[in-house]
Amino acid sequence: MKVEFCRTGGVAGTRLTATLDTERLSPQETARLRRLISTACFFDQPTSLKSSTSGADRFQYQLTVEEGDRIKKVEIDESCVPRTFQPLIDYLLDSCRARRKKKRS
Amino acid sequence: MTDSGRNSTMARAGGRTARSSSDVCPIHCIIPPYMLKEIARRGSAGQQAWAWQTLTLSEQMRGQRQALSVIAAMGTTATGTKRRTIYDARNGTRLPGRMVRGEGDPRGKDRAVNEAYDGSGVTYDLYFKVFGRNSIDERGMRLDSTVHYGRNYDNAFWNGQQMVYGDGDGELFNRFTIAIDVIGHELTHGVTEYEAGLEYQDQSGALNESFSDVFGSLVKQYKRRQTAKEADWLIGKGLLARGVKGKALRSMKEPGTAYDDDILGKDPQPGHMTDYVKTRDDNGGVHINSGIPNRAFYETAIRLGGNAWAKAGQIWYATLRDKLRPASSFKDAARWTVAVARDRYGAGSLEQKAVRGGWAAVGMRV
Repeated sequence: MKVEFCRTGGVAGTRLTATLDTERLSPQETARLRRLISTACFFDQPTSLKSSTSGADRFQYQLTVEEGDRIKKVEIDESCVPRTFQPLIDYLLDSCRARRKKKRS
Repeated sequence: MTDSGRNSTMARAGGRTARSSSDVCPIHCIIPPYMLKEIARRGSAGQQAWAWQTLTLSEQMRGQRQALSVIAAMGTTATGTKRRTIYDARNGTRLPGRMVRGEGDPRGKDRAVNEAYDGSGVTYDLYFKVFGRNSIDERGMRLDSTVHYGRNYDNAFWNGQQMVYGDGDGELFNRFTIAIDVIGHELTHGVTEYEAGLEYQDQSGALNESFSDVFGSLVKQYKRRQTAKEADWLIGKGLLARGVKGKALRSMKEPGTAYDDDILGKDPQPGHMTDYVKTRDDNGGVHINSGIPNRAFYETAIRLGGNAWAKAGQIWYATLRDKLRPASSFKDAARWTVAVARDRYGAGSLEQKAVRGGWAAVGMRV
């Protein structure tokens, strides 16, 4: 399974990305990632969850999950993230930060 | 905090130009204005909110500020009166959080709380003393800020009702209240919402972002009593953590030069129309393409000299308040700022030429 994650927007306007491939993750991490995707009901989500309310400087998330011949891309505004989806977002953000830390050191 | 919930509800929902039809109950459109005024005066908090909103949404009322003055008197605070409230989200995401400082309360030990309080105060003062505007909605709206939002949250935002600030991740970003122009930036999103209502997408969204950077920068310059020449024109200076190769989030003077870091990447902002970025990211690049109108403002202010808020700021404010519409483009902003300069200072005046020159510098000839 491959997961591509991208966060854009925010007041800083920066771009944060992460790519995860279960072939390169430990069995524990793979199990955790699968659990998060399942809890998020990822493949049942609409492809776009856009905010209709006012506001500015929120983040936008793009997630693509590819498994076998299944591939799905979801775009979500920060203010629209379903509660069951948030742990997956948090995990992917932590992955971005860990990757950054590694790059720095 | 002694502020009445009635006033705050009315102030937030009322007086705001509609952004979506879902904000207004369709049944209320057939209620005559005299009846709406009575409801706005005597209804419950919720009734006052939609009555006020319906009145100000009327196309007939739009631009007729005198007609609204009687209604505006209801629930308006005395002009020049700040109503700041700071909340602490305690690293959670529920808003507004726990109230930790109200208007007039003494400083505490929490730097983020004090910065949000002071920064929103200077922003209020700029708008009131320089532009004659009584808070975000022109009616003394409360200035609510939440600090310590989220965990390692590297952002600040306006949610349609209040400002929200994260603490940063400590690796790339410091706490977001550290930069007063970021505070002014967020508050200005509220002003824009009540005025032009610039849609947060593509060029209108980049204009929305630019006005926030313009007035955010003016807040910083005003506090420091700097001229346009003395100002650094950097947005978010001090926000980047130690070790990050960069000066700030953005440069209005030289878009694209604020940072170039192994992790953060390179500042993607263009400073000319020929470099306009077409992207689906960031609602069509609203934080990217804002570099173009940002630079137009800088070029105008430098040509005019003196304090940037005195003339350039007045022209930009009047344009935002009276001329622009939700779908306005860069071209519209250029045309209207030139027209406002003509109306204020005369056709062919130095001021009008400066505005024209500012936009020409970024490839927008009007």
